Amino acid sequence: METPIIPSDTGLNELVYEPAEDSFLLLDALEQDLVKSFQGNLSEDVVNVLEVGCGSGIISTAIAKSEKLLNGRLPCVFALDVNPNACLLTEKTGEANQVATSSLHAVLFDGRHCSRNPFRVQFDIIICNPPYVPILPGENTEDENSGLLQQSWDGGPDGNRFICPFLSNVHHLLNDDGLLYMLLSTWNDPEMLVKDVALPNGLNGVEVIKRTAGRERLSVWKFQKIGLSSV
Amino acid sequence: MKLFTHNMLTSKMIKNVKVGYPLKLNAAEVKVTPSEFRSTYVSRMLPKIDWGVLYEATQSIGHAEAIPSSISDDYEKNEDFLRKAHHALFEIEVINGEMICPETGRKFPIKDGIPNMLVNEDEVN
Ligand SMILES: C[S@@+](CC[C@H](N)C(=O)[O-])C[C@H]1O[C@@H](n2cnc3c(N)ncnc32)[C@H](O)[C@@H]1O
Repeated sequence: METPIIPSDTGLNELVYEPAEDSFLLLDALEQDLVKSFQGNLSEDVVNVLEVGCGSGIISTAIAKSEKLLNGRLPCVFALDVNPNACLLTEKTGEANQVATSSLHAVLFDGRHCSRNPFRVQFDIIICNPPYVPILPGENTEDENSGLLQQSWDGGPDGNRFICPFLSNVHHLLNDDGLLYMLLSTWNDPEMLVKDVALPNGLNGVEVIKRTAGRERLSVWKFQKIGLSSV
Repeated sequence: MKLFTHNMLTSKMIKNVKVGYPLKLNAAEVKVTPSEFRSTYVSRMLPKIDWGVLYEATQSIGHAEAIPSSISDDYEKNEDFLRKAHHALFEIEVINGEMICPETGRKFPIKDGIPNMLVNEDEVN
């Protein structure tokens, strides 16, 4: 999988999460795991993909270009973010990397609000690099005006303010044989999330890759609906 | 926002909304941007499209001639038809405007080509 280039002349880059170790680990996980795991619905040629929290669009763009990873099927990607600048930059990143405009669609949407699916389709693949850093109220690491940017990493006091509601509800968006790939850090207590949040909502989770990046230990987890996951 | 996106979106995340589809479309600014035509992609996509809703959408934003009112039976082999479908789904873009929930009247603005489907916490729970 080619790593997409983020255009630097958009005037948006300062306002959107810049791809970092977490983004690259998630790309590596997708590259390694998709080919062997993705069965999807073999009778259909279009694969419905959803990225929640698309930021610069680096991951959505990589997937929109990754027919090979999907066994030749054509991806149709919806990219969601709460930051309008991220939605705009995602479309520009797609263009800059020659993604067909029919394959990538950005929508402003809050990923926590999916207890009822706003789309008419369910998704074969859902990808999420969430805001996961534990940040105490008032403990603002960067410039105070950059509220939208802070939302890129701010996971609330325990780091799970986005992750918990998202992981509880995301099964409404996922096809019965769909796959969810999610990046987590040790701060989020992945084992707890798998056991206490995913499982009660019908999702099995397994770790597919991990890496130490500075003081963080990052991992990517794959979730599938129970009863349908392959061994 | 492409008409494809309009075809796929509902307002069902709002509590008590039953179907939330189709969203009424009002366009203040529309742009047509040519894009690569891939016949396989379009023909694989068509089973997921609500053609009636797409037709209505083209009518409501001043592109009444874009597509016929009903879907062609042999579309997989009909390149002319697929090109029209491609144009309507992926080339006609609403840059500024709004979508309206058919049940609650809730408005979803479209700005700079991005649909804003954000809702408040008290609208979903
Ligand atoms: C860690 S960044 C990841 C960006 C990009 N996917 C990447 O890997 O480089 C998290 C992204 O999630 C977005 N985000 C934060 N809260 C969100 C929410 N409730 N719903 C949707 N997106 C959200 C942020 O704006 C940010 O772009």
